[in-house]
Amino acid sequence: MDIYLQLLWNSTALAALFALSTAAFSVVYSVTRVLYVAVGGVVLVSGYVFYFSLTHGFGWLGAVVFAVVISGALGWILNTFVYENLRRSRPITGTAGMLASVAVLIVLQNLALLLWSSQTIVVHSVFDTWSPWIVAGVRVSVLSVVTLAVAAVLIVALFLFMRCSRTGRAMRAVSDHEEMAEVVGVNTRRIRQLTFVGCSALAGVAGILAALHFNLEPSRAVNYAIEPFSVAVVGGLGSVGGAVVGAFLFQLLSNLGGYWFAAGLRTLFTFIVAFLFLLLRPQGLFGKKRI
Amino acid sequence: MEAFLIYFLTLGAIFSIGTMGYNVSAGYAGFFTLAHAGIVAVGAYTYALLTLKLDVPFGLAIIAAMVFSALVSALLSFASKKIRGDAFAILTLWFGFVVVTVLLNWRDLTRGALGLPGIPHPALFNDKVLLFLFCVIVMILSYVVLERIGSSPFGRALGAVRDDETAALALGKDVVRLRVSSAAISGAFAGLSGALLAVFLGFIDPNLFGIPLLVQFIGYMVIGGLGRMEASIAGTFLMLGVREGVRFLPFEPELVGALREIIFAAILGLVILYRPKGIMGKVELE
Repeated sequence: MDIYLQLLWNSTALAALFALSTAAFSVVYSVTRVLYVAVGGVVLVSGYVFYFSLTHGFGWLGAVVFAVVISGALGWILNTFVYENLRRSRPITGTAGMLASVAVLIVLQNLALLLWSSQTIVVHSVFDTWSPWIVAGVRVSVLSVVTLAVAAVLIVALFLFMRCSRTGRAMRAVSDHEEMAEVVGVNTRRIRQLTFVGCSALAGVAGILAALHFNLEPSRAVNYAIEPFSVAVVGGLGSVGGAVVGAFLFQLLSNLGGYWFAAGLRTLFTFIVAFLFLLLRPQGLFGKKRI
Repeated sequence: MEAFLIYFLTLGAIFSIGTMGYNVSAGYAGFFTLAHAGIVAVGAYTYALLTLKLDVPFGLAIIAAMVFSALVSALLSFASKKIRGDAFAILTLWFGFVVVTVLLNWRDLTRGALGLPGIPHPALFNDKVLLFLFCVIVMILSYVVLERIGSSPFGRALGAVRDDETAALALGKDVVRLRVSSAAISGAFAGLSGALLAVFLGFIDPNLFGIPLLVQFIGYMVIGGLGRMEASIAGTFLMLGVREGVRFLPFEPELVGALREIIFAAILGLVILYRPKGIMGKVELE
């Protein structure tokens, strides 16, 4: 029984991490209709920026702020030079938008390879030195608690921002009906810009946490891209709640798959279950039904 | 230098076949999947396992690879009846992962990450020039067949589905069936390309067929242009030339690898942004 409690806790902590990047992916999708696959590159780059500013005497807070700022700036650059450009000539919902994202992802991944080499970097943090707590036979590491807390605060903040603030309302208006929002005086271009910057910064936080959990390695960019995309589709594209629940289910499945079968088969198991689920419910958990 | 040229042209012909196949579903039918590298893997492993384990003769193994890849591709595309749009895109990406994971873990059959060495080929092809000629002939034959399919009534029906699905439906076209057929043809040529790749390399392992290969095929097809087969051949040779050309730049090997991917992806991105028809495509990338 203990092993299942342990798996449950591990899934929760990692789910919190991926819920962050998925929320970023999903909000970008719902406001701008862009499949932000390039988010994987932002997550990766943020981790590297964090590590290198930490080792170059920025201090903890400085490194975190710097990495988040760089991530936001990346979002601004991508939106301005790729997506707004594309939007001028074609509907952004098509294959072109997705493929452009894939191209950006590959560029970012290999830029990381060029700048920081393929060598795996292990990020040591102060959390490693504290011994884990044992709660009801479950090993609870400090890092996992921190991850859960950070993600919970940020996601609740995102939710409240979308619900209550003026900008958040404008974002939802653009998401519901872009032209109508424009007619009533919402600057849709600015809203899209803000969405990209904010969500990329959020992905940047996920990148820092990911650097602490896993190691730094350029090839991880693809996983960091596919995970939010998969989770968002299963949770329902555009839904923040779907991102949270979807991330948890994905991690749980993956951990159970790894435990029941073999570590190499965990993604196989996850994808097959997700496929069967999509057959039953193509719009995802909380997705709006297609007309 | 001559050996390199033969290597380059043979690889170009083999990849061209795969790119043309991709262009049938994505270009003719406007039915885009991210499973192409996975289907190529199915073809390559079918050929390799049949010849290695069962001593199946060359021609039969190639045909079996084509048939099996077509079947797998058709089955996968059948899911598009239920799951559509962005969800279908991620689903086909999962499929690619599933193929690679199965090949990596079914060690009794595939030797996993160690790969399959010593894949047999007819004695004739010990001469690299003959293999090159064979691949070029197969490429030209594929071109003729696929070009004819494109201008046949069936090809025009695919075009109708691509341009306006509702209208095609209203005219009584079975849209799902047309998509599945296009995916089957696409899969057959992906399988052919994979089988020839196995013949050419003599060694395959699962990681050859991951995301990088998928991005390569996307690049070849999109940069060449959608909906026209000669565009796929041009795109493949041009971009394979760019990839191999980076090798001759004076950088360290690791830098060359990264630089090659950056240049390739950057060109792909620029073409998507500023030239949606690619070099000589018939239809724009939507």
